Amino acid sequence: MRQYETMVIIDAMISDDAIQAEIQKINDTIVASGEILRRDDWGKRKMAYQINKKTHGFYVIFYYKADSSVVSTLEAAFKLNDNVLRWMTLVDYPMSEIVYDQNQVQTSEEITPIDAEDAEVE
Amino acid sequence: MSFEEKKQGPRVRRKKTCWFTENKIAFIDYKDEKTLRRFINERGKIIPRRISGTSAKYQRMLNEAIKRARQMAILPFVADSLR
Repeated sequence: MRQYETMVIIDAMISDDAIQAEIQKINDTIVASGEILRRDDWGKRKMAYQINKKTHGFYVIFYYKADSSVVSTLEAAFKLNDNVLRWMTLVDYPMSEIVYDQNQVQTSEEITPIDAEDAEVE
Repeated sequence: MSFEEKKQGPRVRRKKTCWFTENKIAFIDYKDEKTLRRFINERGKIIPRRISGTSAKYQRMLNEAIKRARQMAILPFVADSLR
């Protein structure tokens, strides 16, 4: 048993019910032989670039303890599932305390790179 | 006037400090978009250490985090806002 973190991007163009069904399906697979520590829903979000011609994705992050076989079953299912645009599983990755704030995306424009004026000095 | 003086005198360079050390951040998470965005330029490139002043340890961690964030479409590989 190890701790895993899986981030899944589900196609946001499908109906809300369908999205919830997909999440539930993943949830059930994990619960079957492991335990979920936390689940973060980022919700619909504009992706930084298009994936399979889709501009928006529904982000979900699962933090769970399970055997490695659970991960391989999950990933096998993701590969066959067209609604899952992308996923990433990390082993023993520290669980972040960052609680996703949906408004944060809009404010990201104000963030100035750390260097700005120093860049010209070089 | 001040412009002329600036040109003459010796260049005073401000000491760069590592943002992560200053803020006592132990771990850089790829999900932390707000922090990561400080360290990419408007093109989406990672800002080098010589410019940002990040320490080697954190730059390595930052690199990994930014690359992961790019894979998950949290950050762009190439920003197309300049188009």
